[in-house]
Amino acid sequence: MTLKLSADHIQAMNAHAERTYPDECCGLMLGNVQESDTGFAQMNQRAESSVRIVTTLYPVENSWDQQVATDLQDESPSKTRRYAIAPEAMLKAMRDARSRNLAIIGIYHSHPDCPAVPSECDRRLAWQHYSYSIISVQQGKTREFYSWRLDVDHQFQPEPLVILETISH
Amino acid sequence: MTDSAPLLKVENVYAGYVKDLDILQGVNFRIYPGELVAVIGPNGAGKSTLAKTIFGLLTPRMGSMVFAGKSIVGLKADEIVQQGMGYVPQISNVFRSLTVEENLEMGAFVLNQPIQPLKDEIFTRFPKLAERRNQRAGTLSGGERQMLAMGRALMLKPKLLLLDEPSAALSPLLVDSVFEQIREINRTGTAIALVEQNARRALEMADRGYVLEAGRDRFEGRGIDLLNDPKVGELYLGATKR
Repeated sequence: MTLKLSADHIQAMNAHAERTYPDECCGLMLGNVQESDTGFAQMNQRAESSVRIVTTLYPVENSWDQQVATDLQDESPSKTRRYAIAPEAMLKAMRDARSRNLAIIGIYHSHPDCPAVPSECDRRLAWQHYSYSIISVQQGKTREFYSWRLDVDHQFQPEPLVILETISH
Repeated sequence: MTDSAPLLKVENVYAGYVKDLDILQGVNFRIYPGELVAVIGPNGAGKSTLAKTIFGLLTPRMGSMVFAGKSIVGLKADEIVQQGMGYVPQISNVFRSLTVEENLEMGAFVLNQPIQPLKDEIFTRFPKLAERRNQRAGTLSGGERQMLAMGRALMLKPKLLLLDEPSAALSPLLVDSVFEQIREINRTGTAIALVEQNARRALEMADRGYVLEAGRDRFEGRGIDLLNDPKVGELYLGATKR
């Protein structure tokens, strides 16, 4: 499992995270998976050696609110500690990805004044086939960037990053 | 039907929401390809907990669950969907702010193929949804919303559909309509596990049924046999037969 993305992608996510500070930012990562583990029939074969290539970022609004908190049985009403992606935004990204023969391969979000380490809430709500990239923002400035994937025991493990100068579309 | 291998085999499963407090206490459940199986029982018997556990929303503390030949213990819902199981929860089962058509599209989120033919199939099966395709799900009636939730789950053509109390809070007329749709879905070959409070209606329609009590499967048999079983009748169906 490796996530390939460009320095521009990281810069864009950092900028997004700083812009929304002290709230969490969030967005989707569109791209391709080498060794084709995005096909429906093949999704069960967890491709440990798969390489996920981010081609497009899809920043969205953090739509966490009281209603989402209630629906998810989460006590935190604050966007400073939680994020949610509205179904409208997800649908738009799905359509965009399909039209370009891409897939949603991951989600990024920020942790304001916290390390770039998944929280228990992140773990609880995470999906197996996505990469989860987290940006730590300390006092409004980005400090670290890590990516994570769930293992077979539903625990997050660091996902190796390969940062390229550019990604060819 | 029972000569073939079970599509889903749940054995001796213990699970609950809180540590050291199991709602399911050694429950067993089987469903064969194409079957319609009702799960009934009093409030608190563990019916919905069983559905949630099968679908990976709760992790069993003990026991085995094999679906389509593979263990699904420890898998999360998104992985179980990919194995070919659909689940329609009792509440919060549609995206209220999205239209009917958009909800169906969301149901096919993992597919990397054209989804229009799938939507067309659902609209053919549920003409009411076709009429309302551009209407926001939050404005649908309870019965229509239930149909949409089932339609969305069917977008991935599951081998097994788990329905958690689809008749809850519906008027009797709508219950008839929803149950008829369930029967139709089953006729096309999709196995259905129907968790229902409306025990009599569920057993009338089911090939087989399970009666849960205190987290265990207390009775199991053909739907019609359970309906006529005086012990089941006394306990769960009310004294008077319709």
